[in-house]
Amino acid sequence: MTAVTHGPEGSDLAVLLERYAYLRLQPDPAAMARIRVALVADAAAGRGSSGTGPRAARWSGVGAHGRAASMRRIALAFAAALALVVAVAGSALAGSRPGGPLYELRLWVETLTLPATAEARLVAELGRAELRLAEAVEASAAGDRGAVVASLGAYTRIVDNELNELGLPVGAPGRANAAEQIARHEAVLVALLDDVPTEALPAIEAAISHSDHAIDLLLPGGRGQPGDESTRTRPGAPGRATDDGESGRHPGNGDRTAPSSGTGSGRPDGMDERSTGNGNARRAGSTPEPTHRPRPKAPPERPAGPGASGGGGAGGSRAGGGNAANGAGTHSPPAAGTGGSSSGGAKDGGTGRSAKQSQALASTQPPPVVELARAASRPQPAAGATARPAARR
Amino acid sequence: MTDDDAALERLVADVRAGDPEAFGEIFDRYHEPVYRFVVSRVHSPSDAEDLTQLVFVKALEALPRYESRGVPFGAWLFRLARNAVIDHLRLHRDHAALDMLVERADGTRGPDELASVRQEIDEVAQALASLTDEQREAIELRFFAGLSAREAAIAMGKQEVTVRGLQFRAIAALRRRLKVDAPGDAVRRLGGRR
Repeated sequence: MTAVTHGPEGSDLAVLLERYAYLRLQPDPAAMARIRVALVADAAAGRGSSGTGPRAARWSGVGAHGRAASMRRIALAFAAALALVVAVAGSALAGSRPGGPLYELRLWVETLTLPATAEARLVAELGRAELRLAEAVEASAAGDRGAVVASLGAYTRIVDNELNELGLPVGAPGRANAAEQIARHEAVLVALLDDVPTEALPAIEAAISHSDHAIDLLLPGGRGQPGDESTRTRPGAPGRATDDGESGRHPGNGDRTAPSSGTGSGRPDGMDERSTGNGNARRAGSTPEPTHRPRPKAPPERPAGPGASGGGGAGGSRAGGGNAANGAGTHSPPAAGTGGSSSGGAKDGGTGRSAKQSQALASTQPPPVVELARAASRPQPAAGATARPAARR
Repeated sequence: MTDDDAALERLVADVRAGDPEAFGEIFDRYHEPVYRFVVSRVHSPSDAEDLTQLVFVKALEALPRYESRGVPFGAWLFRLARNAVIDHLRLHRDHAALDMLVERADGTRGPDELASVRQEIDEVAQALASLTDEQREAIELRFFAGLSAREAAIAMGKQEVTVRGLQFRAIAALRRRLKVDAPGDAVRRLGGRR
């Protein structure tokens, strides 16, 4: 087979060609041995068409053009698949945001991962509620009314249904903690009134109302029980323990609960104290220094804590509750439901919303009650007991 | 059919019957001429190794369909190799001009002798580059791959006499270029083989 038969010592053309071939065209024995092993293995596998190594894989195919076309097809298919994955992931991500088409699905999926035991489930549900609240805050900051409504709706469902169906026994420590946490949520909701789009105000009102109700259910005997110190000292639901449930008037004795005593419920169930009048005053008063308040600026007309001014000016007025929450009792709420009647006619019937509030909600301008809430929800200079909201008491 | 051809036919039959080592023996027989032919065309040892492997992969793939019918196995194999080289050069046309061939290390030569050999080899390479494509391919198949004129003709898809003519003119050109003027030298004998 070797055409150049002369040895390298010759001097004619054949010798030159052989020397050239010997020095420049000889294969690397190691490389050839590798190729041989791969080929024999390929033959043993009974498949001659498959590549036997990286290089063979690189070269396999019917020809260079065929290989290039195959590579192009593979690259195009890969790019298309990648784009599809990105698009699906992106749309799923966008769709699972509050207000998105997949948001409810996401919420449902969340429920699948909830623990079975009541105590653990309560903690998990509270975490979910907090997530919804965070979504609402974020959506409010972005001015996304739909997302605010969706997230608050989810929040309301959690506090209204899930938390109340846990089956935790009355008096269980988890219930008190949950009530405390929900009260914090409520404070955030109140603070959110300042920033939320006007169209989303009803959703916030509903969320506040339902969180109130959840607290009532979590602490069925704690609220409105004058002697219940354990309840009274909880940051989130301090006012409930001091609610005497009598007249909506508070003696104004300088007790720290006094400033918001005007919110004392005219209803025996203690519920309407927050839903009557404008409610915002009480909510503002119940703000226990939320840790993630959206707008932490000091109120100009609030030199001291709610209790600093004693009960002066509270007077049991629903709107006065707002005054009381402001701590000084000097802020006269314009057009608020003054008059000392805790169950006063300012209440908006079944909705629990005051007429003034309803009017405010219908207005595009921030209503006075919202202004009160804004003022009351701002950080209070005094900490400790005086910083505790009084509206619940 | 010579004994060599008969042995080759048996190897092919063994491969078809599922004997992988038979294909290893075929590789042992042909890998060096295939590589020489390929590397002389693509001028890149690494590409030549890839192409050599590809040629044998394609041979293994096509072996069940191979029928002698008067076409020697070597000619059939080099037709695969030639097509693979053509495809490669077509795809890598822009990089084909760069000659990346290097001399094999030979520790027996001193620096002076090595320089002399290198100069000689470079002159051969330049002389080969001065040939036409067909003349050069004929030389590559005949001298570097060791094919007979008939096998080279089959591989090139030409008549045997045409290949002989290409070879004759190529040798004459190389002689002129390299100033090798020995009428009775080995090249002339090789030109008269088969």
